[in-house]
Amino acid sequence: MSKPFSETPVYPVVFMLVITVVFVGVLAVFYRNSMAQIEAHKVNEYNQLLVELLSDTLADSTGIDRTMLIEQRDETINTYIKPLDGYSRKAYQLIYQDKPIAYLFDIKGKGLWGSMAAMVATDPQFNKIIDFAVYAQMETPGLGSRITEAFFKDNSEGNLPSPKATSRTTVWCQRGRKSLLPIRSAK
Amino acid sequence: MTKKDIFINSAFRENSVWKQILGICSSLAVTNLMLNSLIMGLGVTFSLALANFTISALRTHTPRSVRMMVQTLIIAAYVIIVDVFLQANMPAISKQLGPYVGLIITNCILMGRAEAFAAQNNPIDSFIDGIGSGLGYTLVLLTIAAIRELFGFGSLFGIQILGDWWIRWSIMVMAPSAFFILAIFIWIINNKYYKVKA
Amino acid sequence: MDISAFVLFWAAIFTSNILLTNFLGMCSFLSVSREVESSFGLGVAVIFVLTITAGLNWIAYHYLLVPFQIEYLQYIVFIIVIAAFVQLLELIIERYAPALYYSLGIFLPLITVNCAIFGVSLFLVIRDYNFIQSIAFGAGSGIGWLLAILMLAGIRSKLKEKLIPAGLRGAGISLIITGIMALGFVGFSGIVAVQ
Repeated sequence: MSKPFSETPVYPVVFMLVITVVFVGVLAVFYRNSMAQIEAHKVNEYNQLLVELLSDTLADSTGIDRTMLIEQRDETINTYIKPLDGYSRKAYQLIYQDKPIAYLFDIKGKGLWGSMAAMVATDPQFNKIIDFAVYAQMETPGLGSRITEAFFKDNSEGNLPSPKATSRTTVWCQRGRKSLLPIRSAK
Repeated sequence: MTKKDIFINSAFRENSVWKQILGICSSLAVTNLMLNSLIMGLGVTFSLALANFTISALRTHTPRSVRMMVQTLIIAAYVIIVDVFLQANMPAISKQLGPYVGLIITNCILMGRAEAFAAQNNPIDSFIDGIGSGLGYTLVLLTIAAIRELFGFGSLFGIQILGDWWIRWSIMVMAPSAFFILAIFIWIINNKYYKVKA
Repeated sequence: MDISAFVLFWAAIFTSNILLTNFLGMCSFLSVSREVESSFGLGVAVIFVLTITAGLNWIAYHYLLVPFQIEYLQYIVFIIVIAAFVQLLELIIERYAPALYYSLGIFLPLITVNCAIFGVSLFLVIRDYNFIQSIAFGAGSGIGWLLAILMLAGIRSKLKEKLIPAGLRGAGISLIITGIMALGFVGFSGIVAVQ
């Protein structure tokens, strides 16, 4: 060839391809290595919240100290919390002495800037919300994202809007000042 | 230019935010808390320094027609590494920063420094320029965040400074306040540092 | 998502303006808004690029990244698609409409790093829009961006430079004006839920 390779028209394409392969390769390796850790974080957080929401009811029924139940999280989950089938998202039953003493539903709905996911713990007759916590949201840090803080959770105990609404739990919450976010449950 | 000159130049004299007016988008979004700003600033510094180094190392081989795509690819790769690192090792912070880590890729500072400096200078100088620009950016971010967090939450870095008697300024929590704080900051810098005359 | 594409289009222009509500696309916004004509030119180019890349990136995400489970590469794929499309557009305009090319000048490469374009692609993944919604969102965001930059350019063209303190001229006053506009747009928040 009369021209060196670096001046042929195909050189830019080859260069791009090589660079892309190299960098994507490095990324893939890095990502695969970290993936397990990221998954573990997510599962840990989820299970932690799961146990925390149900621990009060469990402590009342079994008489075991609440903090101990939370500390021995995996054991608590294996012994008392059973997943339920038939719902479009995750659902759990809290079982003590072969009877369900609480339910927990994983719900997803719209926030202002993105979707939100939360857990709602209810009593066996679906009449009362025992506890509630948001575990995934994309709101403005400092404003809407404060929905995950304790002061908001403590607000949420109480009765559901209507005893007949067992298949649709609608929780209305406030972001910042005025906008309302409906969170619709699984079914 | 000596290495020290390059650093001072990129961090102060030609600061990316107050002189070149780059990187504004992220300055507004993450400056509500000082901790977020610090992490974002460090992420940008890290990506910028390494991207500058790599782009500079490849500058003699990169054909002109794909120059911008190569730069974009390299910057994106380093930013994803930062993102994955945060998700794996600091999940709480990663959640706070959320989509803004991805927006480092289009942070004009990285592309701007790559075009203006790394494409013409050797790798070591480019690396120092990257660190300087990144730290200059972090400095601006921390300043804005200090004011926003102090008046909006009464704390600095999460440590409560003003007690319950302080009524929080909601505007400081919303993003538009960063516009005003940055404008006043640039005004003060222009008058005191650059001594701009009427 | 149950929001209609039509409503999403209008929401992206006014109530969730990509620039005044999400603060994306600020850099070229501040530097180009000195003149109204160049702002208009850049804005139109942004609308075009946004709409098409929103569609392209949606296809890339759902037909390339998801089936092969390489979603973590979405940043790279999106930005490469955007960069390649802008490069292609530049070549086409240079060949077939040289007058337009000279008037747009440096703005075309500038669009590649416009965070608004990348941000829209990221948003349509996070908010899980379908194809028509993505196109509507992209077009609406582009028009919203054009609206914002025209507003700022219009205001700046009427400012008397001499009345502004020396340190505030240029960037400083633009930031303050944009801040006031952004505060105005805060009033729109929550009117339409965009996801």
